[in-house]
Formats: sequence, C-alpha cells, structure tokens
Amino acid sequence: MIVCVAVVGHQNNPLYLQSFTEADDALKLHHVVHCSLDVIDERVNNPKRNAPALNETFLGLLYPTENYKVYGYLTNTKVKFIMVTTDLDVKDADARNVSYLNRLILWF
Amino acid sequence: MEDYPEELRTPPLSLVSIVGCPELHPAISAALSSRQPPMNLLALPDFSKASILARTAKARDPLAPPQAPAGILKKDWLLKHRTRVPAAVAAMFRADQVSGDPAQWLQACSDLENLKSVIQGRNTKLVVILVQSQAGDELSEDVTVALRKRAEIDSKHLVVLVERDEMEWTKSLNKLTTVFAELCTTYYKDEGRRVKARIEKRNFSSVELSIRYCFKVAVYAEFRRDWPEALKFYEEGIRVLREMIGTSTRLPPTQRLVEVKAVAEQFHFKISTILLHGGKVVGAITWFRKHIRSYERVVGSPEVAFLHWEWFSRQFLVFGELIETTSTTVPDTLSPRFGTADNALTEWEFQPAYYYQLAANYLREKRYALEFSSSSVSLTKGVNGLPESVMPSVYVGQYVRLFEQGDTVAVLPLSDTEYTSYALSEAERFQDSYEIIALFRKAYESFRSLGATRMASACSGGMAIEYYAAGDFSNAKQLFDGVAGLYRQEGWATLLWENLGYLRECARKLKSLKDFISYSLEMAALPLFSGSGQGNSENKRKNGPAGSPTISSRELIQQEVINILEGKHASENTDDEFDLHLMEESTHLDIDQISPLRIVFLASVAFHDQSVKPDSPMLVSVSLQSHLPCPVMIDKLEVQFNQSDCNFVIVSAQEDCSASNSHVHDGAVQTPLTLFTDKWMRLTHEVKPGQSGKLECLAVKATISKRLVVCCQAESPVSMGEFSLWKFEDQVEALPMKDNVLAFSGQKLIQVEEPDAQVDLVLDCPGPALVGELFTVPVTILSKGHAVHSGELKINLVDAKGGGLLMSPREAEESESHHVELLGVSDVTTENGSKEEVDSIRKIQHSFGVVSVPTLYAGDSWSCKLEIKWHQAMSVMFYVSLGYSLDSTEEAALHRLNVHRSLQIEGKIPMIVSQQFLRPFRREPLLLSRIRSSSDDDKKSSLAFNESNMLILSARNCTEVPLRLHTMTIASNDDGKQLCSVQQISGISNEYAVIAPSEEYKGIFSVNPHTISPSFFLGEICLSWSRDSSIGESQDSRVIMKERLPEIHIEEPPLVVTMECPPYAILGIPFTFHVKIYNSTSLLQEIKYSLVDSQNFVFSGAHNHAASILPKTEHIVSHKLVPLGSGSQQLPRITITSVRYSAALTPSASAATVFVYPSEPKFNLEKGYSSTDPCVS
Repeated sequence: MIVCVAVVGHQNNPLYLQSFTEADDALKLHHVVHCSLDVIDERVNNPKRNAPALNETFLGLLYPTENYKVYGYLTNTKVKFIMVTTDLDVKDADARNVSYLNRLILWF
Repeated sequence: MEDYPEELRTPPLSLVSIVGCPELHPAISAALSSRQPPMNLLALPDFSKASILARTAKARDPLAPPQAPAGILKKDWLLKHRTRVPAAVAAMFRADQVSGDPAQWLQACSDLENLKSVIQGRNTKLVVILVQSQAGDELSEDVTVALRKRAEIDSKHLVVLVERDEMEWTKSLNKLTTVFAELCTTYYKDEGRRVKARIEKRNFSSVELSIRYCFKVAVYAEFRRDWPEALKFYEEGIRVLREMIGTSTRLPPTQRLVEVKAVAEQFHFKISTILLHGGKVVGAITWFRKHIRSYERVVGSPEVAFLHWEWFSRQFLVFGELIETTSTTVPDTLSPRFGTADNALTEWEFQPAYYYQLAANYLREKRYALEFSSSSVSLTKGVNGLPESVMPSVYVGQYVRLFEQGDTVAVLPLSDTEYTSYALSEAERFQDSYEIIALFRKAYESFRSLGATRMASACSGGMAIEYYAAGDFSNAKQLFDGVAGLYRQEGWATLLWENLGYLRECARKLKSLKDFISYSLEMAALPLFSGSGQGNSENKRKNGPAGSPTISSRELIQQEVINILEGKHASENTDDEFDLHLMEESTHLDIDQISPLRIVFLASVAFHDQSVKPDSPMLVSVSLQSHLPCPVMIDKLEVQFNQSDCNFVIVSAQEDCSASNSHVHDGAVQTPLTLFTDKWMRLTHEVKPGQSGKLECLAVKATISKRLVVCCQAESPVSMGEFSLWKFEDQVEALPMKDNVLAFSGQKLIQVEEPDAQVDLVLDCPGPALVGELFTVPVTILSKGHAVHSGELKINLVDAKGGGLLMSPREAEESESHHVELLGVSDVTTENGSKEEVDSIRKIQHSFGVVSVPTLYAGDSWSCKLEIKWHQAMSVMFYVSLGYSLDSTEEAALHRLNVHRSLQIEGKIPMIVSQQFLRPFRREPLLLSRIRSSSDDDKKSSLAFNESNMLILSARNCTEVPLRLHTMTIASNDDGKQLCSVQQISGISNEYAVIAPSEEYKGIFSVNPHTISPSFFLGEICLSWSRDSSIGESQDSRVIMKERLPEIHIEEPPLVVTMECPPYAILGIPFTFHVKIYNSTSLLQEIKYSLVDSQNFVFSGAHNHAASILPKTEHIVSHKLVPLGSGSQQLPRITITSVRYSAALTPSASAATVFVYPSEPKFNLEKGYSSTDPCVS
C-alpha cells in the first residue's frame, strides 16, 4: 500500500506531501521523505555509480526503513517524486509503473 | 555482540584430550594450536582426572515413553562440546612404563581400561602415545602389539614420540597432530551423520528436537569447517523455529516467544557470521532482511512488547557491528544500480550507520513500550508482587524460579504473569536513553562522514529527543537548534514544527523566557504544510510535545505567549511558568535579515523620494507584516534612523492616553496599531532630515504587551528576500506598499542633498590670454544670503584637451617647463580698491592653488585676481570651487557647502617673427656650400664673408587685439659682435609701433660677417610688446619675447659676380652691361659664360665664351644692349660657370631686370630717383 506521496522541489523544499495512513505516522513520513533526499543526492552526485542510468529518471528503491520502502523519481528539472509504501514485497516494475502514474496525475 | 558468549562468537575448534605425561603437554598443545585449522587441547595430567570426560549419567528409564524436551537448546551444549567433549583422547605412556616393570605395565593397562570405560558410550576415538627418550630405544614389537590390543586401536593410532631428538620429535609430533586431525574429522562427521540420520528419519518426538538436531548438525559441520552444510542446517533450523511459534504449546505464550526469539537470535548470528566471513555480503544483507521480516510482526502481548523491541533493536545493532567489524565494502561485482531490479539492495544497507540508526529507533520503541507496560502494570502491582529468585534456566531463552524448601532446592516454571513482572523489573533497571543516544551518535557520525546531512540530522534529532526524555534539556536544545537550521533552510515546515515544539519545551524547562518567546512565535508563524494537520494532536509521542501543526495549535501558542507576557497563568502547573517578577524589565527580540523570526515580524521601509533637500519634509512608508495566526496589538512603534533627529514613535490609539503621555516621545503619533495575519500594516509618516548625507532607516521597534520589544531590522522593498517557508504557500501575495513602484523599487535609505549655496562665484575673462604675458583672471565671491565662514577657494588648471597635465611628461622634472602656470593670487578688497598681497595665500602650485577666503557676511563680496602665465599656446580649463560653512561651529564645519565654476581660457601666441636674408643688389657671390649642399643644410642660410647682407625681420600680430611693439633688436653675444657686425638700418621711430591684428612690422638689419664659420650664431631677436589697450602702462606690462635667430653659414666665395647696368634704359638707346667677375682666390680660375638671347634686347658680344682670371683680379665681360621694348624688361640671362668648381652662377631674375622708358623721361631727377629706384625700398 502506498502510504505517502511527496513532491520535492529542486532546492529540496517540500512542495506537496500527502500521507494516506490512518495511523499517526504523518510526521514520521515527513522524516522518511526528507532522509530519502540524501539517497537521491548520493545517486545524482555520484555519476560513476549511476553511469548506465544517466537518462533514467526512475531511481528505484531508495532505501527500506522500518516498515517502509521508499521509491524515488527524478525529473529533468530536479523535482523529485517520492513514494513510500508499506508493501515490502513490491516489485521494482510495479514501483516504476506507479511512479509514472504519479507523474501523470500530478502533472495533469 | 559483546553480550554473546564467547563460544557463539567464534567458530568452534576441534577438541582433543591427552592424559598423562604432563611435562609434554605444553609442547603438544602448541603444536596443535599452530596447525591449520588449529585444535584445542584438553590436557589431563594423570589418569585419575579422566573422569571429567565421563558423560553425565541420565537417570532415564529406557523403556519409558520419550519425554518432551523442556527446551530447544541447552545453554551449555556448545560450550560442552568445545571444552569438555573431545573428539579423540590420547593416553600417554613413557616407554619405560610399559616395557620394564610388570607392575608398571599392569598400572598402564588399568589406566587404559579406565579411560576406555570413561569414553564408553561416546564416539570418542582413542589414541595411545608412547614416549621414547631416544630414537634408538627400540620398543619391542610385543609391547606395542599388546598395548594396541589392550586399547583396541589400529596400529596407526599408536604414535611414538621421540623426546630427545629434535628432528624425530618434530616428525613424531607432526604424525600425532595428523592422527588427531583425521580422528577429529571422523568424529565430527560421525556425530553429524548420526544426528542427521535422526532428522532424515524424522526420528524425534517434538519440533524442539528437530531444531536442536539441526543446530547440532550445523555445529558439527562447523567443527569440520564445512560451512555450506552448517549454513544449510542453521537455515533449516531457523525455518522450523519460525513455524514453531504458532504451534508449540509447551510454554506459556509469552515465554514461548521469548525462547523462540532467543534461539532465532543465535541461529541468525551464526548464519550472518558465516556469510560475512565467507565474503558473501549481499547474501548476509539479504538474509538479514528476511530474518527481520519474519520476526518484525511477532511482537507478542502488549505488556511484553518492550521485550520484542529490545530483541529487535539488538538484531540491528549486532548486524551493524558485524558489518562494521568485517569492514565490508560494496563488492565491485555488484551492479551499481542500487534499488532497481538488478540490485534490490540500496547503498545505505552496506553502511553500519543504517543499522545503528534503526537499532536506536527500535530501542526507543522499546522505551515507549516499556513506559506503557510500567504504567499499566504499576496499577496492578500490589496484587502480584515481584516473583523472587528468578534465574535463567539451562535452556536458551528460558527462565525458572528457584524454590527452596528446607534443604531441597526445586526449580519451578514461571507463569507468564510472573515472567512479565520479572522482565519488567529487570528492564526498568536499565536506562535505555543513554544507549539510544550512543547508537544515534554512532549513526550520526557515520552518516555525516558519508555526507548524508539529512540522515545525520535525523540522528541528531533522535539524540536530542532522548536527551529531552532523559531531562538533559541544555544538550537537547543544542542538538535541536542544529537540526532546526537544516529544516528552516530547506523549508520543511512540519519537521520544523516538531523541532520547535521540543525547543519551546526545553526553553521552558531552562527558564529562558526570551528563547521560549522566540521559539513560540516562530512556531505560531509557521505555515501549515499540505497534508499535515489531520493527525491526532494528542499523540505527543509521535508528534513531539507540540502535537501536530494546526491553526488552532498555532493560535494557542501565540495566546500562551501573550498570556505569559501579560502575567496571566494559564495552567495550574506553576513550576514551569515564568516568574515575570524575576525577569528583567522587558524582553528584546532582534530580528535581522537572516533571523528565523522574519516570518513573525517583517518591517519594510521605503522613502517616497530618491533624494531630498535638508529641512524639507518627505514621506516615508513603514509596513509591517506578520504571519502570526491571531491579530497582534502593538502598543508602540518606534522607527529609528541613523540620524536620530528623524526617529519617530507611533503609539497605539487604544493605549490609555494618560499612560502613554508620560513616557512617550514628543513626536509621538497616535494611530490604531493592530497587525492582522498576513496583511501588511502600512503607515506613512513625514520626516524632516536635518543634515545632509545618507539617511537610512535602521530598525522598527514594536512593543507588544508592554514587555516584549521586537526590534526588526528595516528592509528595503527592493531587496526584500522571500521566505523559504512561506514561498509556496497558498496565499494572496500582498505588496508592502500601496504604490506599486515603491513596492518594487523602494529604498530604506535616501540621500539628503546639501542645501543650495547662496553665494555666487564670478569668474571674468577678458579674452584669450597671450603667451608670455601675466594674465589676470578676477574672481569675485558675492554673498547672496549665506555668510561665508572658513571659506576656501580651490583653483585648478587642467588641460582643456584632457589628460590633465599642463606639462609634457618629459619635461615634468623641470619645474620651469610648465606650459601654463598659476603664478599668484592678489587680493583686491573692493572697499578701498587697493591691491595688496594677502598672507592668506596658502598654497600655490603650478596648476593648483588654495586660497582662504575671509569671513564674509550676507551681502558682502570679496574678490581676488589670479595671475596665470602661459608659456605655450594651449587651451586650459580653469576650475574654481568655493567651499564654506555656514557658521564657525565645529558641527557646521562637517557640512560644508560648495560652489563650483569653470572657465575655458585660450592661450595664444601674440606674434610670429620671420626673418629673411638679402644679398647686395646685383652682386652675387659664388657660395659653394649652396651648390653642394644636401637637403638638410638647405635650411641654413649662407652668407658671404666680408660682404654686406641685409636681414629683414617681420613680426606679425596673430591675436585679435592690437599690440604695441616697443623694441625690436638683435642681441648677439660678445663674440658675435666682433665677428659679425649687425646694424639696425630702420627701427621704431616713435616710442612704439602699433600693430593691428594680422598686420606685420618689419625691421631691417645689415649683417656683415668678418669671419668664416660653418655655423654661426647671429643672436636672439628681442621683441618687447604690450597690449595696446593696457591702461596702466608701465614697464611691467611690457612683455619681452625672445626668439633665437637660426644659425648661418659664412664662407668665402671664390668668385663674386657683380652686374653693372644703368638704373634705367630708354627704348632704342644702347647701353653697356658689364659683368665683373672677381677671383678672390689665389688660384687661376677658368670660367665659361653664356648669354641667352632676349627678345626685348639686341646685344653685341659673344654668346658663349671662356676666360681665365688671375688670382685677386677682376675680369670684366661687357655687352652692348639695345632695348627693343619698354617697361620692366628681363636682361639677357648670363650664366657664369666656374670650371674648377663646376659651379654655374646665374643672377637672380630681379637683379637682371631693368626698366625701359619709351623715351627720355623728363622729371625732377631727385624725385625721380627716389620713386623709381626699386633697390632703395
């Protein structure tokens, strides 16, 4: 289940963050999303490691933390889409599709 | 990891035992431990100690039905197999013990029997070692065979050690260790196989046994270093274990779970260690994930949830430590694309910090669970009490109670309730906070070194929360402050809210009112981030002390601050309240451009004009904005400028008049001052700057609730930065000023101009200046209303063409060579009109001068004359500036007024002098130099030696004014006078000659050189002139102008040709034309001459002829001519050529001209001569 969707601006400022949990986890999800920016920075700033994925905007699983998995998507304008799921068995391809879907929803 | 027993942490080593001959044990032990893989030795000095190898007898009826095991793993099983159950036992005998004395032989046999009986029932292998002193001491075959038979061993298991011979000793020791190694392998393989057979046959009564068997097989495999098999059985065991949770009923549920987890922990640790030591990092991490996933939900009942979280946290901690100690790096073979289908792992999972952070998180979870359990149990504690004498049981993860009754000690199982209260009391003995802080700090340092600032600050925040929970508020505040900085910078409002909530409470606990107010106000002014606010604000555990951000909580926070300031105590909890009586008079908050409190109060100040005159009123707009949720009532607003005279105060109209009048500034204005949320409060005020210079608004001070003074640094609308937090909020963008232009380009500073000078500075220029004269420029200062105090006149001369310099750089060193020079200033006091030098001339340089002006009162005037001299014709810009102050006080001296004037003055050359040499009429010396001369000498005039020449000097007036020429002389030096006589033929008849503009005056001089010189300096032309209009005609105004005459060449002509001809001719009347050629040399000169026909004359005589002239004699060539035409006629041209010098000499055209009258003229001869003779003029 997707528990949180966030859009983060190019200066790493939050533009949109929506959590979909009943539980009182909103703040925790803020933390999770904020910390995931470090992973994005690391992947973007470390071209050696990401050489084959230069034109790939889907960043994949950023990191698993506690009960969540965080997926990232980076646009050309350095706007980041971040998705937090609780589904620990989520497949990479699924995340990719969801990410694209998010992009469409948010853009239109 | 350090909590784990040693036997678990290290891989097991094979154990062998030797009995007897204790003196050899150290050597054997060393040999065994230096083997690869090493073996442990259990050395028993004599056979009486062999009983410790014996099995502990189990009094179990073999016919009874198999009992269900009481636990999964026995705690000491591993230790037992590593230290007490050897794979092989060696009995050591000295050779003499078995070969000589029969009594000794019998003793040896009985020892051997004993040993055999001890290891009976076990699969332990037996070895017999015979120790020989020397290799030569042959043992009899019989003895060895007998011994082997006794011991029932193969011949290869009887090893002979040779003690004295080193080589033999090493060899035999090697053999012994090899035998041991083989036996160990066999033993552990057999044991493993035996247990494995039970698993395969499912020959066990309970699932616990199955797990235990798996563990045993795996441990035996580890003994053999068969890692894959060990891994396989550990994994199998842990799989069965995980299934067991739901099915087993042996223990009460809570304890069952505890046992399962404890066993799982051991299994997991073993698996992780094997994988990591085998270099399979990815495998280990994947395994860890699986392990975590299978246990994360197995929390158990809420009362003992803390046990789960403690265990869970330990999993992360231990795995992190394992990763750290094996110093794993991301393997190169791994796909670099983390987190994608190729590589499901992510970067952080290779970092120990990641595990430490999660361990800390879960340990905190444990703390929360523990707090919950403690609070719920404490209510019921009285009933149950704490069970006594609880101790760990022999099984891993089990606890029992010792029950003493008389002398008998019984071990009783615990009920879940008892166990829970025991665990709770145990857990409460530890302070988890410090462990959590330590974990977070470890993670923080690691993340920071990795450059992951956000992760690091999350850890830092975690530490701070723990410090807060532990009551260490100053540490907590320091850490929270650091974290808040990052959140502010990146605009994470919700995270900042949580942080500030903690900071606010820290400030409250630390009794820091100022901090409390600033944190509270910042919180109240934070935007509500989308997606936040639905949470349950009561859950302080997850949202911090401030709850979740909502409008109402923001309003509450603001109200709380106001209440505190007004001294109203909102809660009964007076301990935490600030005692305002102890506080200082008022609290000051300074808000500058980088302060986080800018969102609370923002002051924008703009002047309506770009510049202003002093003392003239102008408008300044002060706008205040606040993002606080409730309207703010401002008591008093004070606007401060750098010129304190301009400061003004606005007092709220609501303020009680009587109260305000007493301490309010005179210029206070009353207006309602209420600042509404997100709206600009715009105030316009009139100020009158008193001084010129910069006027800048520094700060706007708002007093709120009498105690709080907020000092906002004023900002110009043009340079006002955005708020990172409010930038993307959904709100109407309002401008600080009503006027759009002002809102975008307004400035908080203004330039106050200097007051208009009421003094006139007049420069008079009588026209162009002439080079050489003393040109005076009158400067007049006329006061038209201002008194002039300590006035100073600065004079500056600058080249009008630019460049500034009034001299050529080459000549700069010579002070005389200024092209234009300021010579002096003469003071003309208008009252008496007299001219006098004034001492006050301070400084006159060639192009710059400073003159002090006496004090003038309004209406007075003062003038002076500047004397300037031009040395060269050039145009000059003449700048004069008057600086003065209005009165003589020191303050006024700082504000000087300035008047500037400038004038362009042309400098012109008054006269151009030209000169011309003339030779005597019809007398032509042959000047060889002129013939031979190359082009450069052309300029030099040549004069003939001892001939009289004429010099005509003409002075031409090139100005636009008439000039008087007083004298025109040629001044030559003493030598020149002797060697060459110069006489003035015509001169200035009267006192002076007036030369009108562009006219010429000519002076004639006769020059008679008496010497021969290639370059002779004739002298200088001296002209003395003055302006014709000069009023006070005195010697001073005359200007002497000198010009050097060019050098001349004086030579002796070899031949001098003189033509003689009557002054006029009459048509048809013949006359004689002589040409006299004088040879002045002492050589014979041959000449040729030719005469060209002229149409106006007929002549008699040779056209061409030659002649020889003796030295110092004259040759005369005569021709008779008859004029054929009247008027001025050209005589036939004669050309004389000197053969010696190859030089031709032709008289000039003017010399060869004669006037022919048509008939004999009849006029007064005297007059006629004077008028017709051209040579006189």
